[in-house]
Amino acid sequence: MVFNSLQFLVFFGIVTSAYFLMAHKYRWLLLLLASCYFYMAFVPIYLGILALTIVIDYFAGILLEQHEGRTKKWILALSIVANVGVLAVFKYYQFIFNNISWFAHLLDIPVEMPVLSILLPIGLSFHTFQAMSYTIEVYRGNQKAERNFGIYSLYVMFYPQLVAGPIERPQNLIYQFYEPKHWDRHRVQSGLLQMVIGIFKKVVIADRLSMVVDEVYGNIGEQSGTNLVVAAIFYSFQIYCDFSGYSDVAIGAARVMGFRLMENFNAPYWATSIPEFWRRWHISLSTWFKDYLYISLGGNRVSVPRWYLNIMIIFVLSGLWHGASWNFVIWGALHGLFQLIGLILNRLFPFLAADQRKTWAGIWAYRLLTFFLVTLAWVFFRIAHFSTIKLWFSRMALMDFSSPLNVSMAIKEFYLSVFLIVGLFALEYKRGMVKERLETFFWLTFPLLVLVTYFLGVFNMKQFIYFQF
Amino acid sequence: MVLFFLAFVLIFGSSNQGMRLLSQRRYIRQDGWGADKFSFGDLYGLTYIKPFKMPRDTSFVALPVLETDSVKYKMHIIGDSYLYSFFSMDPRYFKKTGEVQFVRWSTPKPIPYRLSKDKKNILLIECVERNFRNLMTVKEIRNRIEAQAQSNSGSQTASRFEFLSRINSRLKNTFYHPTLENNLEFLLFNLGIWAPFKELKSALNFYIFGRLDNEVRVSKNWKQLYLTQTVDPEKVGSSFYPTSDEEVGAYVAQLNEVQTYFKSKGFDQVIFSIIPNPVGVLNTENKPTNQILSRIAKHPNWKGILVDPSLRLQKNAKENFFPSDSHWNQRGAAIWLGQLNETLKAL
Repeated sequence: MVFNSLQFLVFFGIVTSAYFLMAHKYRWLLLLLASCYFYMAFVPIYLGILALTIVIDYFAGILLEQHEGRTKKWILALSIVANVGVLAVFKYYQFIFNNISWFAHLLDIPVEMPVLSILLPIGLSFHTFQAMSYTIEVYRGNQKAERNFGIYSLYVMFYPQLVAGPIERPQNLIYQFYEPKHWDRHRVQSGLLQMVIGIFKKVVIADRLSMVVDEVYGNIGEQSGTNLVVAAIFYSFQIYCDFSGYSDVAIGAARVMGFRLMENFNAPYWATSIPEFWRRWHISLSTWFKDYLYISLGGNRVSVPRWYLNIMIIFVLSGLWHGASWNFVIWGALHGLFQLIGLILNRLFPFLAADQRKTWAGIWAYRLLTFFLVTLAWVFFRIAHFSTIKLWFSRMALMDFSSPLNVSMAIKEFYLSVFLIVGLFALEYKRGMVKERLETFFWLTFPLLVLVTYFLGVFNMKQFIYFQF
Repeated sequence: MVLFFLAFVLIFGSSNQGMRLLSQRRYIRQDGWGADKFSFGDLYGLTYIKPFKMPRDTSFVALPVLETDSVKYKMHIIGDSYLYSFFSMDPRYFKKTGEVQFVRWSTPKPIPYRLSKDKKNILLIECVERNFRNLMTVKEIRNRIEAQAQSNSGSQTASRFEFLSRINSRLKNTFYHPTLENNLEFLLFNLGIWAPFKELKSALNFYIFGRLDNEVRVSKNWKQLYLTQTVDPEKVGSSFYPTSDEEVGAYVAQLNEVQTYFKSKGFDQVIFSIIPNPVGVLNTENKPTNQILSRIAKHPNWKGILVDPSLRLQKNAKENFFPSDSHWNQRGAAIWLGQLNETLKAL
């Protein structure tokens, strides 16, 4: 069930009410059952896949604690292979074999590949990474193996973050299931407010911007340069509001019940460099790759060429994590490339480094450059087919920016969209302070936000973008 | 309190019987606790545009006065809301008809039919113009009125994972009502007390942003609401969708196949009735339609009987349709019934 639905509203209300009425020792069971129900709303039998990886990693965790040396390494490897194997089968099978077929065809080798028409289990990429995080942390000795199978299952399946993150760490989450949570009015209000803010971002901003984005990207061959530029910028904010909105609902829902999940976004479009962007965007994923892959590959404590290779590997894999398609790989690779170019330029011309900007103009120049690069990369994220990407570039190359914007959205709604983007951008910078003010006047701000969300919301039940990953 | 209320809402929303009972009671009420989604027309219920808020007569069409004739027919009808919302399926509606079995297109499972041994079995297949291409096929009709299970017979090979698919469906149907979201919307928000909010939102979207619900369009003369799919020339079901002669020929072949098939299954006669999209009759858009119904009827290969009330509905057209509903009104329905009865008389 999607967060922006009545089903979720009713589900959340029932689960949360029952949670606070229930004795602490049974709450984990309620949450686990609720999470199963939540997950099964998509494709019920896929609970079996989740159960399989949970069983594997539960026992792997215990075995990791009981062994040392090579055996311990083998156990970890098997656990990771099992998790990645599930991903490979359900998410990457067709991609892998399409490419093998293509390559074989190039070499004139006849290859027959069985077609596997499987629907991607929802949230697979997220809960798989969260499960791997557990076994790796147990391996490293940072987390004790969880003996309670139910609690471990809940760690993987906790419904607010089950299908689209944030990807949590066991050290941050598991112990919270043992802590008794009490009703705290301020905390509940804070959580509810964050949920409404998330829904606002999704239905008022993201789904409104998508009307222009879908129209333009649905017919790129007929679009002027102006249309393409506006759609590209709108998409940058659409995907941000869509994904961060989801995270807000997830974090807020968890907070209502007393759970603290990690923040996943920190005003990413305020970044003045690509590395900084990735410290502010999808923080749970970027830190996952940094902590478990980048550092394991040696990070930047290797030779410079190897360091650059590590960066490219991480970003290519990050792109691939998003989708089994070359456009996502290219998107990731572009970010890697932007980072490398930045690093090389900083080595050659240290005064160019972003953190050397001291003037307002300099900071804003870098901010706009970063936004430009990120938006350019988003084009590859949005457009699935190379032929369409080529068409986009060929239309842009015509430099037809003299035509006015020509989309079916009324001009007043367009101005509203721009106002929302600018307002969001401005408020994000001081979001802590803004949120505090909103919470102080909760009984005014909450109903007001609900009303504004209702009246300005675009309710076409569009699924959250990151659900597809 | 919250828990009990929400649990009640969820249980009620997951129960077909509960929803039926509640909707019957809600639609009777005229006050703020009554349902308003269809009381003023289904298209008003999608848009809440205040100028189109007009009470809709929901009574059945009066029984016609028919000549006394010997009963000859059993009518097997597959139809949509154009019929079941306006007729009670009383056999006295239909000339020379002693028995009626009615099956909705929306039936989830095929309903077995029993051919009469002492009456002529007439199969009447009715649907609205925007849907006939998809629905009036042998496969789709067999999904509604044949008792045998479909899909795994004939040329289709069973999937290796069919048992998984069955388990999945069973789990889904057990725990998740297929229309729960719509039911919850009905339970919580299909109330007259919310109408001012909905109308205000609609006014904001329509008058300031120029937007309506994606599914609805306002006619050029601002007097009628239409389903977008019947007006948008890019939609196949639209009255303005450019349709080549080859495509018309294909539809004729499709309907002929249906007729041949069901006659081979024992029906004495198959009658098709395609109700024209209201926009095609009301002629508010000042552009020619694709005339698909008349082109089918006049096609040299056409072998069947088609009850197409377009011409009759066009006389005083606006008196035959609701401005804020996708259907005809009682007058329009009665015109169709008259034409059908003439066809039955001539058989």
